[in-house]
Amino acid sequence: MEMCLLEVENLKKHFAVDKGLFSSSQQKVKAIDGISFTLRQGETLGLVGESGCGKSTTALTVLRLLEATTGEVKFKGQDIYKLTKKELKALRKEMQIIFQDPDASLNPRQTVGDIIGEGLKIHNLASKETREAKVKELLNRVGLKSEQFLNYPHEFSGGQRQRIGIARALALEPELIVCDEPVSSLDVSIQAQIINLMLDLQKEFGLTYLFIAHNLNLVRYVSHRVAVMYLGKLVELAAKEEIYNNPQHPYTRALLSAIPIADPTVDREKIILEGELPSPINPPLGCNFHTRCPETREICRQEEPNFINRGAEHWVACHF
Amino acid sequence: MLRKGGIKIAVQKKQLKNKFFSYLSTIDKLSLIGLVIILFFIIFGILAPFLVPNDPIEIDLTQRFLAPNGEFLMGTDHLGRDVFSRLLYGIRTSLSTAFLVLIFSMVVSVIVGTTAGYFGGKIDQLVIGVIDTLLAFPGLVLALVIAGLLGPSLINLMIALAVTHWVGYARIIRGMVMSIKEQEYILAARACGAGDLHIILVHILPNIISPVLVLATLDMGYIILSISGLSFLGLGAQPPTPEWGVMLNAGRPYMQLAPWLMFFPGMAIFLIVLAFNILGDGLRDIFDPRDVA
Repeated sequence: MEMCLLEVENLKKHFAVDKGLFSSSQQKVKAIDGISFTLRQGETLGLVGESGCGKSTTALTVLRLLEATTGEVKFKGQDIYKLTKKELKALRKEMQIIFQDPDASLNPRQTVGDIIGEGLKIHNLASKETREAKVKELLNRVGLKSEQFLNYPHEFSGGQRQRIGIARALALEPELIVCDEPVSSLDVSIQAQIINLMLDLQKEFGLTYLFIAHNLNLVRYVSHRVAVMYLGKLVELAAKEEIYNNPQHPYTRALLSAIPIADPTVDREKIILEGELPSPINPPLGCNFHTRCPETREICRQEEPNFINRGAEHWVACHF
Repeated sequence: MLRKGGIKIAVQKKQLKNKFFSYLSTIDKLSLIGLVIILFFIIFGILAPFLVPNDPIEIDLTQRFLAPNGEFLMGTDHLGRDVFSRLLYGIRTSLSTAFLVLIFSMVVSVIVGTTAGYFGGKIDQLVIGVIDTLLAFPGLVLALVIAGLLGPSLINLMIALAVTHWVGYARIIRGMVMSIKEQEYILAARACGAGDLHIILVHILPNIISPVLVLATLDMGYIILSISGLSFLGLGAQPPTPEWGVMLNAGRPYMQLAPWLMFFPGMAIFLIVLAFNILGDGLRDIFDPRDVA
């Protein structure tokens, strides 16, 4: 088996809600509430789930860009939450992030060269000349022109800006890149280009991706394994083909049945979920999916199901 | 190869320079007038010692209340001093005092506002408490009290204005910093290992500098007006220093006899304040981040 690059163990992030001056009870939004998974060297783990289920919070806490409430995140066996500031800074070279919105993730007052070369400068990895050469090389590698390094982000199109974001993530030669919906804000034709670029780069540099998305077809295309998240918890995790062909959790089944098929003659059963996503301030007791699950039984209201391996590394959190 | 690269950089630098000028050329005509008036005042202020026809504080009681004429372009005052010369020297007093007040306010408020906005928490609560308390007093009245307590002099007036003036900026800067620090590029920088100081210097300050400049320009007029106002009340520059507020006050008893004593300093104040205001408006239009592209 390949080496484990990242191990996430019972990670929780709760945000305190300010309820006002006269309220004594302190409420909490349980953005992520105890998730565990591993990431093997060189693989892509797709993380899917609907809006507000905690995908982006996961991305930030896994990199300690946001402090987790409890839990462990081990990168190559080292718990990043136990590192000193200095050690963490050194480790940051190994793990990078690509954001969803290339507009917001590039400083409008920095030139592209400065944006991409920032990490190299912070870590003092190169002289000015070699930094510039490296930036130009990266620009070429992600499909931009090297002479554009003095331009500002607003002079690029959305797809080009995302390429800049990718080049920035690559600059420090990381092993892990967390991709937080990297193509959701782009046109479909551009999405394909960016995804293919990311796959090429993965092969070339042996990158490991934690790929967050809500487009299930996309996740199927890029991932080796897929994790499904619902209301701050993982409900299912398995190899890609396993999860798409043999979904065990009713939520996964509902998600998969919602994938549009580009053929109007295909008839299939659609599982329509009733009701709204419950509030993460007050998640339902028992299984947190029971309020919308088509197969709810008594035990679901009482007991929270454990996240269990059902063989062949197929993990499911369901009583049935 | 290397040479080719060098030429390319030179070309790009030239483009950047051109961009700056094209930036400036987008300024509208009205603001350009403001800019010209300000430059006019500044040049006259700098060259005042060479331009003045007469000594601005030399008293000549034989030539009191002369109406504007060929020798005394703006007439003479109750002590026979040349109003035109005093007016030119007044530019130096007003502009330099206002500028110092502005610089002090800017430095203090950028430091305080950025610290509060960036670090948040207890520091922020403390700072905002102080700011809110100070803002509860009308600024000019507070400046009046401080200047009164310290005793009337131009230096004390500057202290009084600076002490009351940084507060408003600090609050605005704090707000800007708070919104910028939530941007994803701050997270991206932290993911690269950037420390707080790096983030503040590289990512936050460059993004607040242009709105702050606009604010400062708009405010310059207000500060000049405050200085003249407080000097008019006798709390700032003291006679015989040539200062517009002092000149206005000195001319007040003779308003009907010699209206030029108040007309010219009044016009000078009016013009420079107006110029700063319209320039500020124009700068606001070109620095609006939505138009940068």
